[in-house]
Amino acid sequence: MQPDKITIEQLRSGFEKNGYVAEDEITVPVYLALRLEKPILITGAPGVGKTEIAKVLSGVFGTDLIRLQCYEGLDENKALYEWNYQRQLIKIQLIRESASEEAVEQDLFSSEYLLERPILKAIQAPKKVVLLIDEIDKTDEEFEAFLFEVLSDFQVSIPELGTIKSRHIPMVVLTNNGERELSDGLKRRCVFLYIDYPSVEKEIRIIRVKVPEAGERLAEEVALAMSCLRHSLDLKKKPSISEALDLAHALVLYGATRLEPEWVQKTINLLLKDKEDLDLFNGQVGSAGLVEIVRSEQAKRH
Amino acid sequence: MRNYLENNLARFVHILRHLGITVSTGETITALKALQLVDIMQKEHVRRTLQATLVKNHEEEPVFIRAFDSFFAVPEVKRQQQQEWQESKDERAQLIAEAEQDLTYLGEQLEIGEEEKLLYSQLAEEEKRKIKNYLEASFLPEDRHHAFKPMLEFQVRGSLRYWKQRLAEEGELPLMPGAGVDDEILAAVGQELGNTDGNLLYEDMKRIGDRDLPRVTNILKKLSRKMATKISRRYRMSKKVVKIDLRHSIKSNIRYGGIIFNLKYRQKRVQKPSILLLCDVSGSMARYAAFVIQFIYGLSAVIRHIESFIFSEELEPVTPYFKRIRPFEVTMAELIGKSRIWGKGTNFGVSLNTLQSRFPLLLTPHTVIMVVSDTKTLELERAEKELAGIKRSVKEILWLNTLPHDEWKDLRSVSMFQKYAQMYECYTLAHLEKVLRRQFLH
Repeated sequence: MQPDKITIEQLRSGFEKNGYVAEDEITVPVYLALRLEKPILITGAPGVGKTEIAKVLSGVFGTDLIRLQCYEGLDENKALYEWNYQRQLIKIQLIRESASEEAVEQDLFSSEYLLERPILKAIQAPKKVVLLIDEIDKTDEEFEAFLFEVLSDFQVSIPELGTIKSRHIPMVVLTNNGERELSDGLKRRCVFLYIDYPSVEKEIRIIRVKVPEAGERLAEEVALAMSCLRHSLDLKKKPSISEALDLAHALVLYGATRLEPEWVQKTINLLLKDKEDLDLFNGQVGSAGLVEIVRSEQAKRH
Repeated sequence: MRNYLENNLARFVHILRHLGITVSTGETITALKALQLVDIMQKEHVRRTLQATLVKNHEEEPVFIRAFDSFFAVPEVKRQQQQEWQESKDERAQLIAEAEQDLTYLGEQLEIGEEEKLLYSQLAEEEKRKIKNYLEASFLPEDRHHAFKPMLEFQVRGSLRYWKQRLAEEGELPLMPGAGVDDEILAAVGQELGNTDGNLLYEDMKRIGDRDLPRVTNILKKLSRKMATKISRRYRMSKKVVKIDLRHSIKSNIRYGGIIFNLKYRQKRVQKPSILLLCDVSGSMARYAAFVIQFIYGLSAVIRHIESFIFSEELEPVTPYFKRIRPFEVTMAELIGKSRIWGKGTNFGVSLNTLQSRFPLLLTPHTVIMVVSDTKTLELERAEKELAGIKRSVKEILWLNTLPHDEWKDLRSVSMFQKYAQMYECYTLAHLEKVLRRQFLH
């Protein structure tokens, strides 16, 4: 399957085969990014499945995933390329008296001494790869400016070697947790996708796909509990989809077939990881209260 | 067909821009290319396509969705929109015509703006009659008509401005039909957005009712928490290369025989700001003050020092109230109960004088003063003089003005204080967030 010739239907079934439950809200923007050969900028709360999209894309097209994890202070040397100074110095020491200055210089700035970082690796890859630039909001604005230059031309200039053009435009996935406002320049160059917490129905499907042992009823109860925690309480950190899956896994390991107060008590630390959130939960809802709400919502649904 | 699609898209983008969504030409071209890749008979796909290519902020998505639904509505809905818009235009024209009939001097129309005429036509009958009677009773000999008419116009405008302010304060300012909107889609989307409950971010803080206070508290908590994370990152020590630390570099490279393999860098420490908050708590301002204090205290984890004062006819320090860890509502209730000046008239000059004489140590070159006030005060000249004096001792004065920007020109106090303070319009929670973000993150 070629990314630039794919259809929405093919993409949807590809996602499904790779265990990612996606509807139009996700497949259409991803499809457009692939067909238009533009980067896709995915935002949303942590744990809603942003990074997973890049992994799934590499699965769908059977290609490599090259990941650039962003952090404060990340610069071109870590993202694009760097000369292997240590190796160059050792070479100088070794051939100090035997070679001419010009020959040494030419030799030292050849690709042999070039350390490829993720972006250059993706540009030079022999086939189309997925380049995941994770948590772009953690970098500094200067790096962002550099990045959108690279993302618009997909070519890199290395003074000592010349310009390197991409052989295949990589499928670029940028993720953003919304910690910082991104520049308009970067946003303009990307197709935009916001992933929200899933609806109860969608979350049930996700749990059924990822933790099939959980069964229909337990999956429904976990999804309803998640929805209650996310919407009824003013939590500092709302539980994500990945945490819902952790809960489902844990319940399966405990051998639970239904959500009971004692299981909630034992597993609540998987969902709420902040003392204030735990206090709020215990004070306002409590394990028994949560199960009661889940049961009443369940009754309404059937 | 191609032209039809392009024209429609261009018009839709024009509408989005009017609604405050920034869309570049490049993005419009991308959207057009993208539309050619999807089945345009599937409305959902078209919506997702335009959303992904034109809207790059999640917060703007609700506005986009409403605009899309109105723009790509079924023909019956479109006809209804067109009809409502036409009716609103007709009503506006009729109201203006009525006002023009009344607002005359010796048979000649007064030269006043359309919005002023609209306001007049929506005043209570008694108020209208007063203005009309005044106009009828005013006349001078014929040779002095032309000199007298501008004076009359000036007086009528002043009277209407007074009514506009008074009605706004009482929350009874009538909606102006068809005001400033030249497109039926814009009118429909604007009306729908206005009707939506849940736009507390864009509601005048003064008009937020008690019923919504818990929701506002939640919004403020979230905003301040989000901003606190951003600010703390901003002021953390940067890992970026700043300056080579030669001593450390040599020391750590001795093991390589003095060849510098690993460079060590010096970093600069960034200071967090110190804030001095001055909140006007006179009658109409008290509500704003409560919200602003709440927001600022949400940031106290990352702002090094906050000293807070409230003022009306005098100045009162309120910082000690916030030192004890209690729920914010309890603290505010105690503060309002104990304050001697809450809800009184305003004398900014006296308040500033007290600040300088009793708390001189708080005014340092690192201090940023934030004033929350509508600038209306007694003894304006004295206030200006005191403000000028304080400006010399502090880093910066930021003024969060709770009056809408278009009213600033009517007040002398605004231009007088603007000489010494950076002034920002701030009467909604969205304004407040924007100002603080701009101040602390740029």
